[in-house]
Amino acid sequence: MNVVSVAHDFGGLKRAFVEMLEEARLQPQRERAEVMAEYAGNAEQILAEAAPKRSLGEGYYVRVGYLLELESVMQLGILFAAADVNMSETHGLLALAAARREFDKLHPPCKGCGVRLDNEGETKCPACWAQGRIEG
Amino acid sequence: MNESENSTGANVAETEQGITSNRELLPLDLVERVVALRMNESGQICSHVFRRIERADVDAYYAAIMMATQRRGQTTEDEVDIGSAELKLYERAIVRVEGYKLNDGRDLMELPNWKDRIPGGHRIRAADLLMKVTKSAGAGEEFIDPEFDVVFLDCVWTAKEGSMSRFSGLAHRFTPPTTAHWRRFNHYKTRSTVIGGSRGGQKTIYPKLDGLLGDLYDELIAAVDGYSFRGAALPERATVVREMDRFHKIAAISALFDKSELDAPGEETGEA
Repeated sequence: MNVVSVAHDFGGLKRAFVEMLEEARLQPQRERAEVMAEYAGNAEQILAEAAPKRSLGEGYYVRVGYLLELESVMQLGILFAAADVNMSETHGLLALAAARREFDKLHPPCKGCGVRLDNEGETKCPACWAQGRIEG
Repeated sequence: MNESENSTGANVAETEQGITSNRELLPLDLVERVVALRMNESGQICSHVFRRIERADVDAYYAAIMMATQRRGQTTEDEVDIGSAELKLYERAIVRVEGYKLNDGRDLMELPNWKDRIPGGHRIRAADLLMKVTKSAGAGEEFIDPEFDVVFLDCVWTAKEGSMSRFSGLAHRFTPPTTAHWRRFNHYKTRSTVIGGSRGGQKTIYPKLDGLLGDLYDELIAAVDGYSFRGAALPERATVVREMDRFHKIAAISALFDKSELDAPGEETGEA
């Protein structure tokens, strides 16, 4: 049986953050599914399909939450002495950056409105196509 | 609520279910503390007498607590085992009990294994009252301290004449924590381990925070109100660091860093 230190499993942290970004991207769909489920006979199935898909132990998501807070604090310009910031935190912050790059690649922003697209390689969302908001 | 003066001259106010409000200073250096449990059916009082709780007792208590979250698919289930830790604390610190009789009329204390014959529920309830401390509801929120961050605590400490006395509004004044303290606390708090690998059905085991919280308390505490040592209020920070009850330290510093971590004040009837 594996015993993993969450703070040092940077691949796991990256994966957890990609899943959290995906959850945020799909939040509007979940809200629509919740409305549909109120009137549907298969409400449980609809809600289950729309539910967040987390694959890791809860500790990963808790740690990502802390790293995001730490990142926000540092972006405010609050400086920590180098000796005070643990290497696991530094590598954790790098894992967040790698997760963002992966998410950007998987779901590039629509060139018209900025909404995250479903698939890699797309350039516009259906709404922008319909409104002819952008050329090409 | 009836105010009265008991035989020891203590200024007490009668409240519900055998708990009295106490306006004296909380004596940290009691050689023995008594937890009185009132039996539901008979109304009889059974007393559990403990020696002073030491750092090693609290360390053993927290060492026996397991806090985890088990993931099963998209659902998670929190697992917290506190009962065995309370039993361990009881086992370590209990000195004697009063009021328990054997079915042949003898005192329970005559048995060599008297500790084992006390009902488990009574032991857990007594240990719970011994270490229970909560953040005061709304106390002091209308005032702003110009210099310190202040946390107020409530607790029951020891029984007098069969009634548990409640101390309210025990003040802990802290030097405001810096961002570095915040980072240290949260970095440690989120250093969990996962069993089952990062890709399978996993159980997250959370780190024990009592050691770090105790250290942070000792660093940040400036002064306390409401406590006494050797008959007088605690005048010096060094005395507070040395003599403060460790459960109170952990409760106060937890409230300072994360106000959601403390339970809301609940009912503490002292009943078994």
